[in-house]
Amino acid sequence: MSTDVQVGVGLRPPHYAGVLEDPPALDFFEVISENFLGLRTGGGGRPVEVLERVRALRPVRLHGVSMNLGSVDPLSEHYLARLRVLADRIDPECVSDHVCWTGEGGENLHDLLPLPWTEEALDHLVPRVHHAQERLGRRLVLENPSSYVGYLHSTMTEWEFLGELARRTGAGLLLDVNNVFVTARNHGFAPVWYLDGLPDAAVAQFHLSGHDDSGPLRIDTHDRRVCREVWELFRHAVRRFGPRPTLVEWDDRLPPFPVLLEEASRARAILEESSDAVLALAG
Amino acid sequence: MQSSPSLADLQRWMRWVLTNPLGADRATGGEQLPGLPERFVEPEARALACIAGDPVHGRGVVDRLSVYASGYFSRLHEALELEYPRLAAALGAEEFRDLVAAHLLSAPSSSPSLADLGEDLAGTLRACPAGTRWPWLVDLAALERATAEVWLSGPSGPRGGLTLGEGEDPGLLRLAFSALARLVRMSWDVVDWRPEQALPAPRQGRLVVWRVEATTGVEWLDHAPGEVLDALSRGAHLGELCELAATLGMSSEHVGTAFGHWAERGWVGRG
Repeated sequence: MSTDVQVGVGLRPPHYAGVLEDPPALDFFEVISENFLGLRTGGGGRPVEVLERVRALRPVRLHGVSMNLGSVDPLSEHYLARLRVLADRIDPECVSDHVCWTGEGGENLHDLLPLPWTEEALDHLVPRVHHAQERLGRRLVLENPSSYVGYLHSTMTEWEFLGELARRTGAGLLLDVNNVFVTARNHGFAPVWYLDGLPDAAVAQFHLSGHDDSGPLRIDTHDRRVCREVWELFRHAVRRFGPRPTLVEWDDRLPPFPVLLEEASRARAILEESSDAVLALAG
Repeated sequence: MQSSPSLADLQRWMRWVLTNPLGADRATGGEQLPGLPERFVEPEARALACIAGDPVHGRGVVDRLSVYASGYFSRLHEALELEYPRLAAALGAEEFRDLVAAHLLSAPSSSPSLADLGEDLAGTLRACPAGTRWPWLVDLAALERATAEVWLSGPSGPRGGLTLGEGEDPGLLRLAFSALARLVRMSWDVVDWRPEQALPAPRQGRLVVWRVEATTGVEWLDHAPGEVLDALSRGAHLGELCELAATLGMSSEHVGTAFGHWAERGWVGRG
């Protein structure tokens, strides 16, 4: 097993007891940050007490869905402060969120809403990412969300936008390979263009998950196994960027934990192929 | 019509269409519902024309917007259903859906965390026809919210006992009410009530909902101790609490027993 290969799964409440009782052979867990922030009045409650026990067993990554980086609303200093407290308490391997907006006018839609890929959006986002990184005292890692809506006034591709954002902010990219595939299918481009257009040094982590392909639009549901095309795209991504910490996400219709471990093993095998190939070349 | 809306105009219009109770299809078609809050008036700068769509069934502009619009409602509905499982079961699918819709109109999410969304669902229910028809469900909602709140509050940890320091004036002592406990005023005994049972019995009083690590519990308080603990939770000094207890007819022995029990449970401690 290559030592630079790291694979984890998204940890959800039904897993806690089993994971604490019999820790699986995984390199890390990722959790949704907001599930550990408690109420707006403070404290993280029982979930944080459990997360501290998990953290004692394995490294943890905090993955947020509500930083609202792309919104025209002011960034929430209260949110950033609470996230900082959580991060200082858990000492995560990384803190990530999404390149999107989640609310406007003080209302949170609790969704990862797409930005137009314009200079205006980029100029808006860059200082906000800097500010968040400063408040959190660490580098952010930013994920590409799946999208169903695109904007005609975009002036660059999504991957050009993300590459430029990473360059200007120093943030890493969390490349969700399933999201690349879903977005490509929904907007009619080849997913490999996306991967080949990203700067390789910026990619810090991979995500993998399943999606619903039963309708005219692909929907990012996180409720099933990773599909064949996404595994193939993942293989391409690993060849392109090298092995990176890789996470299998599953949020709805959760299967028995061994199914998640099977998916994680499959990801590990692909990462190890690449890692071994690099070692062979170096040797 | 603006072909390239600013980011602010785009987001304002998107928020309007995605949260619109009519759905994206009817909202973009120009329909309006009378009596909606001002945030449901369509912004002057429309962004519909800047959204890309395919001339293929299911992949048009409105189809794409509808993915987000339906996801908005279903995600928030699911969060409230998880927090209020007994209320959802008691109301049934249709009435609970109406309650969620009313709640999103009157109290849209303003927090990064979905845990705050249901903060006053009991208040929304009280103002709905269902809350008038079945008033005990307002108590049930308050009970379920308090349970969620103690679960998400803390962290738990040992509190100081009630022992006085040297030279400390007990009358001025201000005790703290634990973050892991909530006092809930009730009019019905819904603690163990299930929808398939007969109507719950009326019962005026206060419940303490509490948590210790992974265990949550509820405990009824008699009228006088309930009033005293309520005053304590609002910051009254020990001297004021003792006066109140005497007014309510509690003997000093009864007061001592009550405070000892609350401290043992971890509901109160030194501030």
